[in-house]
Order: sequence, then C-alpha cells, then structure tokens
Amino acid sequence: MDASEEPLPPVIYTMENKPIVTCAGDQNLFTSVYPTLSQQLPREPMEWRRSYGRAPKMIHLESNFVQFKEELLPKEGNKALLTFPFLHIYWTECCDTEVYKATVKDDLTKWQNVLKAHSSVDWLIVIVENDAKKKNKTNILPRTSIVDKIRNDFCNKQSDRCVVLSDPLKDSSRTQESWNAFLTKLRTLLLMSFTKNLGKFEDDMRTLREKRTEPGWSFCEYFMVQVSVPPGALDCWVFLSCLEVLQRIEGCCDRAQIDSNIAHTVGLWSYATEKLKSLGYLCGLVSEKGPNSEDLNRTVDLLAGLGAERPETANTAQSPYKKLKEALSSVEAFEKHYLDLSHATIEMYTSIGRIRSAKFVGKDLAEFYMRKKAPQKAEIYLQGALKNYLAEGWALPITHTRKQLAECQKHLGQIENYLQTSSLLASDHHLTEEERKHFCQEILDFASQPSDNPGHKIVLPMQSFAQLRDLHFDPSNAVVHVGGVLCIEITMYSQMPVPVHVEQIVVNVHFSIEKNSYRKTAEWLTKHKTSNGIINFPPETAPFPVSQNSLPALELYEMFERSPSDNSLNTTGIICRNVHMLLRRQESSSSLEMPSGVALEEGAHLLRCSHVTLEPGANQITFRTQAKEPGTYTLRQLCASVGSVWFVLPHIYPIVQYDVYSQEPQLHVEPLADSLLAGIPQKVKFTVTTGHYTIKNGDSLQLSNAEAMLILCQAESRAMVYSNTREQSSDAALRIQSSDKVTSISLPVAPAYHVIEFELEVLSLPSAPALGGESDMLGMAEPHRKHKDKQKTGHCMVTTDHKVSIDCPWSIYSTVIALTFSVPFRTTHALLSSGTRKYVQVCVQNLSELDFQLSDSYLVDTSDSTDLQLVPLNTQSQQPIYSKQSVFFVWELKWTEEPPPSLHCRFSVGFSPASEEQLSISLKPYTYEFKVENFFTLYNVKAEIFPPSGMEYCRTGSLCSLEVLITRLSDLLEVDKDEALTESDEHFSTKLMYEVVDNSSNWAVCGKSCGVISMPVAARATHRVHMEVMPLFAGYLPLPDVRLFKYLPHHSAHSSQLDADSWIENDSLSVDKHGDDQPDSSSLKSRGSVHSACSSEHKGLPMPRLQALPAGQVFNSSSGTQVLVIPSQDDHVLEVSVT
Amino acid sequence: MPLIPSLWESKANRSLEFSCLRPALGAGAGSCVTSGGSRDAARAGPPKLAVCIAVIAKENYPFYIRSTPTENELKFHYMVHTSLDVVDEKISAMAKALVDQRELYLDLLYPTEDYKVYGYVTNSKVKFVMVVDSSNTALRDNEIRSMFRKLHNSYTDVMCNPFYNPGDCIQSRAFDNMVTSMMIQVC
Repeated sequence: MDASEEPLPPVIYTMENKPIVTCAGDQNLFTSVYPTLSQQLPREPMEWRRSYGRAPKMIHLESNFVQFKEELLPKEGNKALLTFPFLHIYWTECCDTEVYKATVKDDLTKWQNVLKAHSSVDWLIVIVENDAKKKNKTNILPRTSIVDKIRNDFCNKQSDRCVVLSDPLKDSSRTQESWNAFLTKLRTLLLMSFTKNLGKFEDDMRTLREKRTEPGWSFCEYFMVQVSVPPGALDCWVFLSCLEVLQRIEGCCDRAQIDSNIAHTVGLWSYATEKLKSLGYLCGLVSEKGPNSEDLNRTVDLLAGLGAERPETANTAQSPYKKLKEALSSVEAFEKHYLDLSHATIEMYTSIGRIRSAKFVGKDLAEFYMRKKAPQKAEIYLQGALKNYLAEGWALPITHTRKQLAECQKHLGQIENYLQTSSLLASDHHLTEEERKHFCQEILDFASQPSDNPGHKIVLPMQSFAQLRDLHFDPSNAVVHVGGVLCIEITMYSQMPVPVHVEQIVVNVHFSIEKNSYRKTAEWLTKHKTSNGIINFPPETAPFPVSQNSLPALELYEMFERSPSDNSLNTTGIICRNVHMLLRRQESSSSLEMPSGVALEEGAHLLRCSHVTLEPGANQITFRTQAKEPGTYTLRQLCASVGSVWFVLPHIYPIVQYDVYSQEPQLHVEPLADSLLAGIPQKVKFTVTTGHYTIKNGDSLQLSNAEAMLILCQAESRAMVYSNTREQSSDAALRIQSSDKVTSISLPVAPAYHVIEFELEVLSLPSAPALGGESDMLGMAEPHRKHKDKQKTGHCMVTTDHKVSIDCPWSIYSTVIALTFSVPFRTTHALLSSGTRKYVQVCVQNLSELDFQLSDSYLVDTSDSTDLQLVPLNTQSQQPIYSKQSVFFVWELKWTEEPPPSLHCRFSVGFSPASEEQLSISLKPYTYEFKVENFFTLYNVKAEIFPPSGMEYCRTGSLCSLEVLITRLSDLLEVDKDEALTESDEHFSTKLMYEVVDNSSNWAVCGKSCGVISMPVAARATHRVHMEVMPLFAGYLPLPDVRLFKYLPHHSAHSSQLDADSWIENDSLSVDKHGDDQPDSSSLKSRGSVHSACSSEHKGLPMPRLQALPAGQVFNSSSGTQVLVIPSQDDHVLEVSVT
Repeated sequence: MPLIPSLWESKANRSLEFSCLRPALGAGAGSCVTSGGSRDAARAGPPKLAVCIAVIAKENYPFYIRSTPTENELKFHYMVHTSLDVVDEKISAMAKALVDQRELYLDLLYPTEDYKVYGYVTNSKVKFVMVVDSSNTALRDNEIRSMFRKLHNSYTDVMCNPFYNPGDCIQSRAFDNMVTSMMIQVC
C-alpha cells in the first residue's frame, strides 16, 4: 500500500476470496437474476461477529456462484471445508402445483438428499415469482400455496430456508423490497456458514491439520485456469493459496499473535518456498544462463493461465498474485523473491527451534546457489546441514550432503577440503562403487600432479583413507636390548575402493628416557612385560554421532607399584587409561569436514616402509628397526604419503610403546628350593645375565670359599645359555676347579644379552654342638659360629648365613652373596626318674619338609667321669624320621659313687636324606650338647587315702583321711647347701613346704592344704602329714597332687621392696618356670588358692620365698594311683533351683 | 458457470507428469521431498499401510529406518529427520504433563503434499516415526495408534534380547518382519 493513501477510518473489508455458493434448480432463472444478484450482494456491509472474542467487523460479502455438482461437496473424512461451497441455493419459478409435483419436488428431494448425504446444512430454496408468468396461467393456485408446500415438504422447522423473490427483474418498489429481504437473508446465511466454517478452519490451523491442503477459498478460480498447464499451475495455485492464507492471517492478527503462531504458519511458508522453487526450476529461472525459449513459453503459458488479478487486490501494491507474476518475470526477480521467502522461512524455523527443518530449507537454498554458480554462498548452508546430520548420525543425508559439499568445494577450489571430502566419500559405503572410485580417482589425480612447490604437503586425516586395525610386536613383549632388532607389523584396513600405491608409510616415534623408574630396568622389562604383543585398535564408530552421550566408557585399571627388591607394595591406586579421550573438547571431535589441523610431528625417530600398495581391505605392513638408545619409544603418528597428499593418523591410541634396554652384566645366586638345609648337599642356581658384556673364552667366576660351606664339585656340570628372550638355548660344559681358598668356575662363551644358568651343590657343615645349660628347656642348638644366627620363635628352623665372595670377569669388585641354611632338627632333652634311677631322654624333631634316616646315635658324658655310665635303651641303629615328626632316644644313668651335681652330655646322631640312596660324600653327624643338674632324688613323696573308719570304701560326701609321707633318701649332699639349711647340734635340717592341690576338682581339701615342715637332712628321715579330704564324685579318682617346695627364709633385700601381691606374682613366676616339666602343670586356680592361703598367714610380715625343688630331686611314688569312691545313698537328690 | 473437476483426478495427472521433471538424485541436484512419482502406481496395490518406519534413538540417530523400496530412500530419511523438530517440540510440551498422564502417541507431526508423518515416543525417549501416504484415507487415528503399539512391543522384544547391545542399530529379523507387515506390499 502506498503510504500516501489515507487510511479508512471505519474499516470495511471487501472479500478477497469469494465464498462459493452453488446453484441448483432452474439454471436459466439463476442466469437471469445473476447480474443483479452479484451487483447487489456486496452493496450493504454486514456486521461479522467473530469467534474467539475478536472484535466484530463490517464486511461486504461477495460470492462466487457456481453450478451445483455433487463432486463439489466435501467428501467424508476430508476436512477441506473452505475449499467447498458455503451455501447451496435451489432456484425455482414454479407456480404450478402439477409441475411442482411432477418435476420440481422430485428434483428438490434429490438435491436435499445429496446435501444430507454430505451433512451440509447450509442451504436455501428461492422461489421466484413472476407476475407475468402468473398472468399467463389461469388455473394458478395462490402463490402462497406453493411456498407453503415447499416449506412443508422440505423446510421442516426452518421456514426461513425458503424465500420468495418477487419479480426480480422489474423495477418496482415491491421488487426492491423483495430483493432487499432476499439479500439480507442470503448475507445472513452466508455469513453464518462462513463464520462456522472459518471457525473450523481456524481450529484446524491450530492443530496444523491439513494445513496445506486447505488453502483459501478462492483457489477454485485459479484452479480453473491451471488446467491448461498442469504441473506449474498447481504449484502456482499452492503458492498463491499459501500466501493468501498467510496474508489473511496476518491481516487479522497483530505482530505478537503472528509470532506466537509461527509454529503453525511456518509450514505454509516452507510450502510456498518449495513451490516457488519448483516453479523457478520449471521456468528455467534457476540457472546460470537464464531461461531458454521453451522455458519462456512455459512461463508465458503459466502467467496467462493465472488470468487477470481479481479487482479487489488489483490496486494494492503487494498481493500474492503480483508477487508470483513478478517472480516469474525475470531471473533477478525470482532470485529476490525466492531468497526472501527462503530466508524468512529459515529465520522462522530457527526462531522456534526447528533447526533440522531450517537446515533442510538451507540445503535447498544451497542447491539454488550451486545452480546459480555461487558455491561460496552455498558452502555455509551445506556445512551447516552436514554438521547437523553428523551430530545426529544420519548416514544417508550425510552422504548426500557431503556429495553436494564436495562439488561445492571443488568449484571453490578448496583443494584440501575437497580432497578430504573426497576421501570420506571414497570410503562411503552408501555410494555406488563407481561413485566411490570417482572420488578416489580425484585424490589420486591430484596426488600425481606435479606440484609447483615440491615440498608442499597436503595433510589429511587418515581415518577415511585407511584404518589402523592392529599392531603386533616381534619380540612379542615389545622389549628389545640395545642393538637388537624389533619388528612391528601393522594391519591397515584400506577404505579405498581401488588399490592405492603409497610411497611411504611412516610411524613417528617419540623417545623418552625414564632412567629412574624401576619399571624400565632390564629386570623388570624382561620379566614383567608379558603381553601377547598384539594391540587392537577400536574400529571407528563412524555412523554414530560423537554426541555427549556416547563418550567412551572409563577404562579404569588398578595399579600396583612394587618395590623391585622385595616385591613389597610401594603405591597403589586407580588409573584411567583414556583420560585424553574423555577430557578432550567436544567441538574438535565433530567436524571432520574441516581441515582438522592435523599437524605432522617432526621427530628424529621414524619407522619407515616404502612403496606399499594398499589393497582395498586389510593390508599387512612390517616395519623393522634396530634398537639404538635405551629408553621408551612411543608410537605417536602414522602417516601414509600418496604424492603430495599425506594421510595422517595424529594419535595412535591405545598407546603403543616399545622399550629398548641396556643391561649391566649381573650374577644371581639363589637356592633351588625354598630354603637351603644345613648338613646335606643342596643345589644353588647361578644365573649370569651377560647384559652388554660378552663372555670370552677363559672368563671365570672366582668363589672365595667360606669356612663352613663346601662347594661340591661334580664331574659333569652343564650350563644352559639362553638369549634374553628365552627363545634360543644351548648347553655347554662347565669346568670347576677347586683349591683351598678359591673355587673357579670357567664360564662358557656367550654373546651379549644372554643368560647363563647352572647349578652347583653346596654343603653347609653342621654347626659345632651347643652347650645346653640351665636354660636348655627349649633345647635349641646354638651354633657358636662367627656367622650371625637367626633364632625365631615357634617351630622355625634355626638358620645360619654363609657369605661367599665372588669375583666376576666384568667387574673389579667382588660380589658378596649370602646363603642362608636352615638346621632341619630341633632337639630337646628331659630327665626322667623312677625312684632313684635316672634316665635321660633326647627328642629329635624334624622341622623340615624332607624325610631323613637317622643312624648311630650316641650320648656321651663330656666330663668323662669314670663312675658314670650311660646305658642306651635304643635298639635300632637306623631309624627314619619323617617330616614334621619326632624321634626319642633314652639312656639310663648309672653311677657307683656319689653322683656329680651336674652332668654334661653330648648327643650326636648321623643323618642323611631318606630319598637319596647313596651320597657322594660322607656327612657329618648332627650334635646336641646339654647339661643336666640336680638329678639325684632327695625326697620320696607318698600319698594315701583311707576310707572313714568302719567303711570299706570311700563315699562321696564323706570325709576321708589323706596320709602324706615325705621321706629323705640321702644324707647331706652338696646340693643341699643353701639358705634353707639349718644346723643344730650337728644335725642338719631344711625347711620344706608341702601343698595338696587337686586340679581336677575331684577332692575337697578340708582344713589346711599346705604347711611348712622342718625336714632333717638324713637318710630315711620321714615326715608324715595327715589331712582330711572329701571326694566329690564317685568312681576311680586320681589322688590329689602333693607338691614340695623349698622354703627359704625371707631375704631383707626382697621383703623391703615387694608387697604381698608382687611377691605372689614373683613367686608364681618361679613356680611356673621350675614346675614346667612336671607331668601336669599347675593351673592358675590351684596356685591361687595356695598363695592366698599363704599370704593370709604372712600378711604384713616380711615374706619368705618358695622355691620348687628340681624335678630330679623329688620322686612321687604314688603318682598315678587311684582310689575307688562309691556314691553315697542319698545321692539321688536332684537339686533344681528356679530363679 | 465454470465447472470444477475432481481434485483427485487432476492431482493424479499432475504428479505423473511432474515426476518426469524431477531431477534424479544421481545428478547431484535433486530435490528430494517434492513429490512421489510412484504414488499412483502403488495405489492399485493391496491395502496400504506405512511407507516408511523409523526408530530413532534418544540421541536422535536412527536405530532403524526402512522405507518402501520403490521410493527414494533418501527422501524419507530427510523427512523423518526433519520431523524430529516437531517430535522435540511435542515432547517438550508434554514434559509438563504428569508422568502417568503422558501420552506416548504424538499424533500427526506434519503433513507434506503426499504424506502424513506420525510420531510416537517411548518413556525412554526412543522415537518411532511413521510416514503414511496421505491419500490413504482408510488409515484412521486408531489404526496408527495400534501400529505404533505393535511397533513398541516389537521394539521392547528387541531390547530384551540379551545379545542386543543397547545403542546398536536394530538387526532383528522379528522386528524386520513386523515392520514389513506394516509397510506397503509391493506387487
């Protein structure tokens, strides 16, 4: 609209799109009234009350009258309400009842039925009265009757659906009146139907239903024209319809409403754009050259078919009609309109977040630009769309768009981008073989072009060209010594459809030295790195988007770092192996189309393979390298060069490394078994790791002999020589020469990085006997050697270390090696008594895992007293001793004169491993020395229990008498001379304390259970003690124990410092220690009772001390006796206590 | 009074001729969504069902997409992909509704000149998109719903397969057969 045109204050709208009204019945009649009707109908404005609370409008109604046809009625299910008639009018001039009955009624009925069948309720019957006609007939009935009849027959309750138009063609006031009434009715009905149907249409618009198939209501007009040029015309119709609907919506909505309804209207915009585009293509408007004559003819036809613009819009500046006409008129105008529409559509889609739709329209636009030879403008749309498809992983659209992009890039001369896109397309399985070959050839053609700049490289990512599938090391542990040869075999899967000749394939290697890490030591590398040498590379997940949700899973591993020396745990933790995958930036991963800044790493270390032809599919490529500097080599990049085109895999992942090590020559000596046993020949393994040293002829190991360890030279010694990888081996003779001080082992000749292994037998001489003293209860042999002895608690074997110093040919320093030998036996001894007869028992316990054969056991008195005799009671000279078992030996002690207070003994026994039949050398016997003191019996204790007088047996619950008889067996001896001994009138006496304890609680001791007696020190001196005890149980009961202690007078030094409790503590300890070898050791309970009894007596006084008599000095002659106790009569009472 | 011919007749003529004008994809400049050339040929066949069925992951990449082999596959890929815009819109509008009141069936996503695109979304945001010929007026809302339900059930069966790797493309024969049964039988 022109800005100068003044706005109309009461806005009255005309209809741009005329509603269709069908006409049935008398067509001639209608034709006669049509001019007046069409002229008169829009004359009066009507108030249009609209739905949804919109303000009423004044409008001029117009109509497009068409002949009634059943096809015009909307079909079932088709909701295209607006495309079809709003009102159906039946015209008739019948005034004759007969005629009415004969034809008109029938015709009306048919018409009504058709309408009913399509549930159309908007209809009207017009009866035209013609005075002239009436006059011609004489027998006419009153006109009302025919109107009434029709109303009666068809109108049912809607009598207003039948109107009378009187003399429409006359020019009288009656005619005018009749016309006015008719027109008002017509307008009202039309508006009613219009409002109703528009309401439905608007509802449909909201739900987006059928939006494109229901354009405005004026389409029929255009449609008629279009029949002549079918495809283009339909597009024109759709285009115009869309724009008209949109314009109409714009006309009745404000900006905010329009914006909020974009989601519903944008479809029409898109549809119109699409149609304009196809019209443009049809009319040759989208090309570089412009339309040809055929195109022009077609355009002219189309434009002619459009006809003249409707008068209502003819004078507006912009109308869909004008827009279309203009757009088809010239290439430039088309471009302008098409771009306007496209941009508007894209903008609208974008604004409501329909990015995919926007990209799709953008792709059409790109296509348009490509046709117009403007690839620079097309690129951004193609890139945008492609990025979207890649991000969401839509393979077919990716391929299609990429193909378009390739063409675009080719036109733009973006060589690198084009080659990259080509390589992607050449590997794309969605394309045909021919297409793939074409793109592959494009790359090869470029690569073979002689470059003007010879050093120039085009670097492209490798992924699309070929993929690294797996890698295999030889040696498989990927560890090689300096100078060694390493092979790396890779499998490359070529994605190209044809074989490609590659000038060279290069692996860029990063070198690092980690000297401080023990993981990089030769020992660690050669032992711990035990992979199978095949590394698989995960295949590219090409079709799937690299979206935020499909990040690779965390690869977590436990990590333990152990000390190399003793394998103890230094550190532990969890390592994420693919941090770089997880933490990389998201953007960089998506765009493959861009030259992704693949940088060639320049490095000194390269693995190279030249002139390889990569066949489609898997290819094996082998790299060979000789290891030079020790360190860790990491494979970083893989490049394949085809002419000036370099395909680069910027990061090889998972990380692939190989290690080159250099090793110092080393000697290891270790026992073959878990531990070495002393006394028997044991095998020791010598391992010489040559490292970088080459063993020459004459090189030998010089072992300085240890005093107590022999190296047993065997006639035939062989050594094994291995390569470091243990792949090859050979064996060689070993020459061993022994002199007094030195044993020399000449090594076989071996190259560098080899291992020589051999075994030697060594023998640790049994230690000299230990002197068992007062503390010999544990009976441990204590080898008095200069070596450090380790004595562990429990049943561990006693060990002895022997140090050997070895001179190696590669070093001026001696290597000192410590070998630890374990003594396989543990020996204990015990003194046994029978009255005054004495026996010595020696127990040999085998702690080792081996079985031995014992032979030639001897026990000798080292003091060599003549009157002492040791009579063996052991019969067998040979005796096996099994692993973890014990063997006992017993000797009787016999003497003629007074026995010595102590006895020094040495036990020796020959032993040899039971498994070995014959030993090459004679073995030294095992010895054990010990001392026995106070072995002579001084006292005899005898206890007896008697039933109460008058009874035959003891009974439970009744008191019995316990008689204890203590008898001195000898006169005064050396051992008696102690604090307890008192002398009066040449008579010696000593103080003893007795104690009756029943550990098994069989007896209740009544009254005092202990007492101090003064014992004359003379043979046959006897002391008798009487006590009362009560048996608690029936049966054969063992007698209670009677214990005898030496009662020492208090010592001033002791008593002043110790209180009663600590005295008890102190004493109980001494009791414990000395009473250990008694058959049944005293329980805490019984001891407690003794001491509480004693302590109550001596409370507050200086405490005397108790000393248990050495086991050998007291003999209990009643031990083991039992007394029969029978149950008492009332023993049947059962006590039940209920709490 | 000009006479108005039947809409369908003229549309039939148009599309036949128009298909000749449409450049092929191979030429590199084809417009893909304009019109289906073989539409009318298919009309004569057995009762029509869907012409394209797609299962789309939560992340919007296709798990499964199949269209009638007679038609341009690419066109349907674009169509289904574009329809995800409307699916997203509907899902986000639906997100406000209570969980138990949520409707899985998304109704008509949008119509094109020749097709209607329907949508359905599972609770795990896997989308089903079905393209139906718009001339197929026999196919009512209820049929579409039940087809989606069948599809959903079959999809659930696929997911229950312990050998199926979640996130992979669907390559189940049972699912394939089910989809085939829903698609137009080409004579």
